[in-house]
Amino acid sequence: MKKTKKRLLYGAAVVFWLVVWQLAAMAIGQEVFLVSPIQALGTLLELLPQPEFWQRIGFSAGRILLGFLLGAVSSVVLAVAAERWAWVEALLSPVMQLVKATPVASFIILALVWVSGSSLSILISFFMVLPVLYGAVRTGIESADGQLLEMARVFRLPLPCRVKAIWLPAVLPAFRQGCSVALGICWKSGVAAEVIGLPDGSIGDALYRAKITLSTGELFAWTFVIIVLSAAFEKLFLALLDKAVARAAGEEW
Amino acid sequence: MQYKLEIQSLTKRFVEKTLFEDLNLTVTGPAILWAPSGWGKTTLLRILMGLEVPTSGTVSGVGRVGAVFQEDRLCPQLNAVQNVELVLPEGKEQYKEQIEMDFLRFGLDRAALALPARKLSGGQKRRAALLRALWAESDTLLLDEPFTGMDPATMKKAAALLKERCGEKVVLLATHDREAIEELGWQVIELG
Repeated sequence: MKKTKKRLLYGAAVVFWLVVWQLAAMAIGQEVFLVSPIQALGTLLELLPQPEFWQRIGFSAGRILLGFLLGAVSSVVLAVAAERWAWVEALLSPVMQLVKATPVASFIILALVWVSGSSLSILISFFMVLPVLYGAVRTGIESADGQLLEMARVFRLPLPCRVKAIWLPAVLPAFRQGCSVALGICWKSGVAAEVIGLPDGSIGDALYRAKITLSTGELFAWTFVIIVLSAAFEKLFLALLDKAVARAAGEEW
Repeated sequence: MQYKLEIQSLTKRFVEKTLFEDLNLTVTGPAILWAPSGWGKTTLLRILMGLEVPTSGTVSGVGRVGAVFQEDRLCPQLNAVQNVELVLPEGKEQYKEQIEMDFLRFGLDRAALALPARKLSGGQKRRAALLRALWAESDTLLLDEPFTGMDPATMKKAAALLKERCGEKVVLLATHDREAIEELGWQVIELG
């Protein structure tokens, strides 16, 4: 009941802001500055049947998610290594700080020197995800129960048992939280990289074209698509991860 | 092979306090370790488990250890049977029924066995910790206050199980429970 009420309230808030948006667009009266939600929806409906629309989604989603996955795998490997060897932690510490503090635009422009426009979003997503998930995995590892680790030592538990019974339950919740943040970041930074790198057939390229042709409707439609894609992939990925967490939590021991 | 646990000239000193000094002990079977509070029983057991380094002296003949710690140290997400299975070698599935029977005999019903360890009561957790130690492949059993949180009837069942399973194995059981000491009827090593 509480959940239904919350959902209704959320729905009402969304409707409220859509009405505000519609009224603002009507008050301004110039499509170039602000299109109404109805116009933006109309543009989106025009885009939907076009094969090019889906190709752009495939192009961008493939690269951004590849960057995310590479970042996720690397962050786990590096966090484990940093936890195991102090020199790895010392070596990585300034790099992670630097990656975290560097503005994404600087990164994109610098990266354009190294890689082609079409690979840019992979590299940028990778670099944006890396420090977030590295930090999350480190936090998870540090939260592992020291008393259980001693127990594992005394009973001489083999490594796979330790990982499954002690390390995974400690790391997965923090990793999940990190993934939720990182997925949003990699979509934002990945598309930003495409807007600057302009690889043919990408969402970023479509956004740029909409900007130079003053097609504000398309700009809004594509932005909406990015938001939906980001939310959908986050939900899908977290659902898969939750299954893994439940498994590590003993439900499928 | 009969193990013989030997402690020679063992001293454990912290910055401000000496727990025990020049301790010599030979244990060849099950024994109860009795000492006043604060003497350092837990520290001695931790040294034998390889978790603490003594200030001086040596221990030998410990081999593989099965242990009940001062705390229960169960994986909270696993149920009682899974916690026991965790310490078993490959092919743990074949022992599942036997482990369940042990728990049932020990007063945990099927409903309790289905719960993750974090939802068990203190006494139930202690029973799981004790059965884990008994099921583990070990040469020496080191048990730190294994009857904590158990009512007298459960303690008696635990003592009976210990006597049945340990036989002549090297066991060092630290306890203050006079009733348990009587129930076990093992050699008592008084320290301090």
